[in-house]
Amino acid sequence: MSESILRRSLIFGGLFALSASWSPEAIAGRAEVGGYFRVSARPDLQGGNGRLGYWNLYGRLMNEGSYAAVEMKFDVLERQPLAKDPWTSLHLRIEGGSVSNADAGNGYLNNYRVSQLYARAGNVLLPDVTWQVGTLDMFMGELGMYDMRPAQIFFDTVGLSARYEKGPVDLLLGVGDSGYWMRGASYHAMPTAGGYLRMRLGSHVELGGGGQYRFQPMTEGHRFAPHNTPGVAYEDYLRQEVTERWFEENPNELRDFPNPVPTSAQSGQIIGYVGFGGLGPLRWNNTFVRYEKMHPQLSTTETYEGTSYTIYTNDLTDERTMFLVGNEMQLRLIPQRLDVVWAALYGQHQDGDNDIAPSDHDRWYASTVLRTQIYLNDTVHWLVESSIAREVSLNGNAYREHADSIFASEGGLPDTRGLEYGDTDTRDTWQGKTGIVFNPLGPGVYVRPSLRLLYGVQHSNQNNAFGSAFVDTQDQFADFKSVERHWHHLGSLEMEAWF
Amino acid sequence: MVLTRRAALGALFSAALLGLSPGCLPKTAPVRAATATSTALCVVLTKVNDGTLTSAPASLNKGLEEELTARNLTPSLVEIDAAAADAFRARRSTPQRVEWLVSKRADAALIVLVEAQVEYYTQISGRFRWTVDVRVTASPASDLSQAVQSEFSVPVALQYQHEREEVALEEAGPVIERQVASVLDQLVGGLSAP
Repeated sequence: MSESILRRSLIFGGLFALSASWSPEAIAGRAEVGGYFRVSARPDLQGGNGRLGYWNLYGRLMNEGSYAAVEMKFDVLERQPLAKDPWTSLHLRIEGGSVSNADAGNGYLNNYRVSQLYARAGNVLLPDVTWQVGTLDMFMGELGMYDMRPAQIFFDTVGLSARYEKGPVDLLLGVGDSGYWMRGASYHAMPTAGGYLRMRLGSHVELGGGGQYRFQPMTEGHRFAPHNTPGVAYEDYLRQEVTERWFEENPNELRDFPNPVPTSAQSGQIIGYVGFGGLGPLRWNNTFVRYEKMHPQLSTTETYEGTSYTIYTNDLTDERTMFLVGNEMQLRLIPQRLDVVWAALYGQHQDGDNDIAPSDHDRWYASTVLRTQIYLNDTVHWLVESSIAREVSLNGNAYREHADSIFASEGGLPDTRGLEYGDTDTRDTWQGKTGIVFNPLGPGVYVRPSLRLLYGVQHSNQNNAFGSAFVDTQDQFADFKSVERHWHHLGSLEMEAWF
Repeated sequence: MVLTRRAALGALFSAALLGLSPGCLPKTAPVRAATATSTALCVVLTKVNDGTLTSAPASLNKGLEEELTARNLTPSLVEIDAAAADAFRARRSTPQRVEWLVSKRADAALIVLVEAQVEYYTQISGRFRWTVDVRVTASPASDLSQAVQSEFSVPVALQYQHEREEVALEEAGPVIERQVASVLDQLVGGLSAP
C-alpha cells in the first residue's frame, strides 16, 4: 500500500469517525438562557441604606441596588444560517430588584415580574422582516453612565410588531395595547401605535427617529375610563380637600356630589437618536432625545366623614410633559491602558395644570459624569468617576438644606398650610468614586463581568441626601433627633454581569 | 467613629491589594510540540441573520495565532475569501470542511478549524445580547481520527445597536482563545505522548 493511499485511508477513516461522533446541525428544540445580574454589599457606616445618593442622575455606579434579569429563549424552529426557511423563537423574561441578603426585599419573588413574553418569527410573508407578538419593548441604545434609555418605545405595550432589517435600514412598526401597564387593575383599553426608523450613513454615522402614540377612548359607564369630576380646584385636589370644600359649599346636598363626566385621553412620545464614532480615539458617541406627553391619571380617592369619594382627574393631570436629552461619548485614549466615558444629561418636566406646588412634574435637572478606567493589567483596572448635578424645582422649595428647615418652609417662615417643602428649590450634588475593578475578560469600560471594590463620596446641599431611616421630625418629645449631614461616604463590594 | 472609618479604609485597601493579586498569578505553561509544526488555521464566521460567511476580525485571528505560536505550531491562516465562502457554503458539515482544508493545505501537518455562528438574541438591561456558537476542531492532517474538538457558546452583550456579528465575535475572543488553547494542549499533548 503506497503512502498516499494509506494517508487517504486514514483521512477518510477519520472523517467517518468524526461524522459518527458529531451530530448534525440541530433544527429545533434548542433552549438558551441570557440575563443580567447586579449585586452589592454596601454596609453604610453613616446609616444609609446602601446607595450613595438618591438616584442615577449622579451616575448609576453606587446609586443603584441589586437587580436580576433572566430571559429564556426556546427555538421552536431554529434559524438556519444558510437557508431562508421560517424560524420561530419563544422568549420569557423575569426580572426584579432584589437579592437575598443584599436589600430590604431579601430576594423574595414578589419583587420579580414576568416583564417580557413574546414570540419572534422570520422568513414569513416578507423577506428580512422579523415579526414579534407579545410584549414589544424596544430601545435604540442606552446612556450607560446613567442606565437610561431615552430612545425607547413600546415599554408599556403588548401587541404585534414588524421589524425590517436590511443593509443600513432598520425599520420597526408596531401596534398594541398599553392599558394594563398604565392602569393595572384599573384596566381600560389603550390602543397604541408607533415605530422608528434607524439609518446607518456610511460606517461612522447613524440617525434614528420615531415615536409612540396612545389613545384611551371615551367609554360611558366604565369607571376606569377617563373622566373628569366637574368643578374641582387644583389646590383642593392637591390638598385632598375636594370633598370637604364641596360639602362646605353645598351643605344640603350630601348625596349629590357631582358625577364624573366621561372624556378621552391621549399621550405619547417622540424619540430621536444620532450616533457617530470610529474616528481616532472616539469609539462612539450617542445622543438621544425624548419628548413625552404623559398619560393623564385616572382618579384619586378622598374620605369625608367616613365615606369614600372618587375624584376623576383627567383634566387635572393632562398637561404633563417631559423633555430629555442625553449624550454619552466613549473614548479609547491609550489603547489597552486608558479609556474614558463622558456623559451629560438634561431633563425638563412641566405640568401645565400645576402652578402652585413643587413636584417631580415641575423641575429641571442637568448632570454630567466622567469615568476614567486605567488598565493596570489585562484583568485589574483602576476606576475613577466624578459627577456633578443640579436639580431645580420650578414651583418653589422642594429640598431641605438643614435639619431644622421644617421651621423655614416658605421665605424662612413656618407655614403649616404651605405647599412648599423645605427651604430651597435647588439641590446640588457632587459625587466621586474610585476603586479597583477586576474584569476577567480584559480591558474595557463596559466589559463584563466586573467585580468591583469601590469607595464613593457625595456632597449635597440637601441634608441627608441619601436613602435612610433617619427621622425628620423636630418634635421636642421625639426619641430620635434629626442631624445635619451633607457628606456621605460609602464602600462597595459589587458584581455586575451580562450573560 | 474615627477608628471605625479608619478600619473600614484599611479593609478597603487590603481588599484592593487582594484584588490586584489575581492579575499577578503565574499562568500554566502551554503544551509545546517537540518540533515546529506547520498548522493551517481557519476561522469562519457565519452570520445567522443573513447567511453570510466571512473571515474573523483580525484581532481574533492574531490572538489565535499567538496561541498556536506559544505551542511551537507555525500558523498559516486560511482566509475566507469568495472561493472559501463558496466552498464552506457547499460543505456545511465540519468533517467536509476539514477535508477541504486538508486538500487546500497539503503542506500543513495540523488543521485547526474554528467555526463560529453569531446570532442576535435580545435586548436586555440596556445591552444587545448576541450568542456566539463555536465549534473548534484540531486534528493532524494525516489522521483525523485523532481530532480533538470542543463546542461551546459565548454570550456577548454589546453596548451599541450598530455593533453586529464581527464585534460580537471579537468580544467573544478571550473565551474562544482560551478554548482553542485547551484543545491544542490536548492535541499536542496526545501527539507527543510516548
